[in-house]
Amino acid sequence: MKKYLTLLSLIALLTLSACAPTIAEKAPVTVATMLDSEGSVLGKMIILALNAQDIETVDKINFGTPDILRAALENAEVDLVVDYTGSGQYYHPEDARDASIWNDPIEGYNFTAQLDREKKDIIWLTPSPANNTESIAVTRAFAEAEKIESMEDLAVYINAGKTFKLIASASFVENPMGLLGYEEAYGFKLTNDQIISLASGNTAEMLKALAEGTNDVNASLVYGTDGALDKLNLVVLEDPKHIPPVYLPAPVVRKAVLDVYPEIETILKPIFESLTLETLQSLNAKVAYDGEDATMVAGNYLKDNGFLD
Amino acid sequence: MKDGIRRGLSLILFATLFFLPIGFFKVNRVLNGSVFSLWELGYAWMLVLFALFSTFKIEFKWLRYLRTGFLIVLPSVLIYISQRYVITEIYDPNVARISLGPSIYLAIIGAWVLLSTETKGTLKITLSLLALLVLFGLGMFPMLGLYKEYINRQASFFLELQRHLSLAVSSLLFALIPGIYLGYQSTRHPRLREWIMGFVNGFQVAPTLSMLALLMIPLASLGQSFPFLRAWGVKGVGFLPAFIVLSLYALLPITSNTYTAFKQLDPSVMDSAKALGMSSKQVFSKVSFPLALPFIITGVRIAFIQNIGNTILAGLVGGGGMGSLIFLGLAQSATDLILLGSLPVVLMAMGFEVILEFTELRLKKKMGVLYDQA
Repeated sequence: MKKYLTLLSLIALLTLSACAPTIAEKAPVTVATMLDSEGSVLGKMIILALNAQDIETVDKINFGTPDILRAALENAEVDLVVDYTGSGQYYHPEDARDASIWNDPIEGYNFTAQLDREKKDIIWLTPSPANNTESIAVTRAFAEAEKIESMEDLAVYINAGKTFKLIASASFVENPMGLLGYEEAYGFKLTNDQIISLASGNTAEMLKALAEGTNDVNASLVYGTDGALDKLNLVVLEDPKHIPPVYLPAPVVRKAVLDVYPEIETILKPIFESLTLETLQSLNAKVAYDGEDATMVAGNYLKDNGFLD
Repeated sequence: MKDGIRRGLSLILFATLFFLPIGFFKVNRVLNGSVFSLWELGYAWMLVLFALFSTFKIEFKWLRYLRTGFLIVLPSVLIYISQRYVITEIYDPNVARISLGPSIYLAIIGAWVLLSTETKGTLKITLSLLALLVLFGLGMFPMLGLYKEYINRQASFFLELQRHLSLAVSSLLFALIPGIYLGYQSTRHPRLREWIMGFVNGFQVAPTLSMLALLMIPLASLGQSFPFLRAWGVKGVGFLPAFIVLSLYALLPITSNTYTAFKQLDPSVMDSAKALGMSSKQVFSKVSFPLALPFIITGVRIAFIQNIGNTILAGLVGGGGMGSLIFLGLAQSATDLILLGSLPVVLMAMGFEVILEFTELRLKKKMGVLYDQA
């Protein structure tokens, strides 16, 4: 009997120790980001910058898909995330007024920041000026052969009935400010078999399919800050009518955590302001295509620009 | 499998090196690469010739020792020489990488199949695998995409490995007592057995992913309403939902095998124990339970191997583990990262299977209940 009691208590102890609470004076900041290379780089930058100022962090980089990330932030599972200003269209759909605010970087940001602050106690900090918007990319060979430089040229090509296949995320395909907006503005309509719609919004696989011509894909969704378009020999089609919303990456933090560490705002502001489109593109290329360590890339960037000693 | 068949199989597997691609050369992390074959590796084909000869029966003792040594290092050597692929275009050695092709995997299996025909075969195969892992860890395969992904995230790799194991082990331990209890009660109350088995089977049938998703909502709201629970880790994401789902999954093998374990006991043994004057508690603790133990261990073994695989899904809800590497690799279209996440799971499952089967066998011999098993 005694033997079984000790065995039981041992097992109970083992399982309890797995979920033992940690008591700390000031709780560390849990930083979480999305699954792509930008999430890795920006996340590591935030962690390195905060750690350098003696703010303890918990690394949850590459946490999950955007909806899981947002749910985790709203439920206080994580404290600080990197999100995009245009996402406000999904978070407060009932308050969305006219869609044109999303094409203005400042209006879109203000709208989302204000609603999140009032309704969810979530604060949006200073964004980067890099517009990570959704565009369509084609291979350089295709663009030169068919003389396509902009969305208008593409519309002409599609309406002439030539072979076309687009690979994109489901949310882009169904979005009135995404593919549907493009179709309306430039006057073309894609049939279902001209679209390959993926559940995830990660462009790495889409660009790979485009570059290799898998499944006859000749166009793909691409984000503004996607790296290595050069290396893959892809070009982005110009969009003179600016259809998709503006997506600026910004640190988003829970108000409760910002109250404990108000210096987060001043630490991250200059870093994010320095991240231009070209900068983010090259950083992303290093991580996603060259396979460099995100911590090294982030650390080197911060050191080279004087944010870290 | 008879030795002759195994040797024939190894011969075929080694021969694939001649005509199947030995590797892929990738210019960067994402794009698929160009295939290359054995013939582009200089004199490596002579090595394969030796391998083919090694599949024949060898009479001389020293030649046999040589062969064993050769087979043990063959996998490592093959991977090492595949890095010698000479590329004609300009490439950046830090970025370009090699992925292993099908013939290397087949040849490695061939070497291990051949080793299994020798005495102490399992030990030699383990040695060969260990040699691979040690050389990998020492950085002897720097051009391997798998290695490049590993070296870029070494710290987080071991952290996730530790998380994976702790999740798999702790959920198993948690399901142990309830599983054994339910299994035992099923033998005592036949009517209850239907209910218990149905309950436990239900969790096996339900898709793990859906259960994880369904659990997220109540756990999140529970954690929000009771802050002290939050401090203990009751959250919608992370360790707890994965832990609960894995424990429920581990229930079936344990319960079912415990039931069989107690059911197969010879009642005359219990009768003799009672006749000796033991109380029913003593009969249980000194006779029934020890006799049933080896078969209960079978159930634990099955549950554990199953858990190691299932823990991959914890990566989807922020619970860590090898799954987070796999899903990250999927999201970034980096196949070597996916491999980095899945290979350790396979190796762990195989390794624990061997260890636990060995423990089971020892226990069965000790209990004296070793029945003839195929």
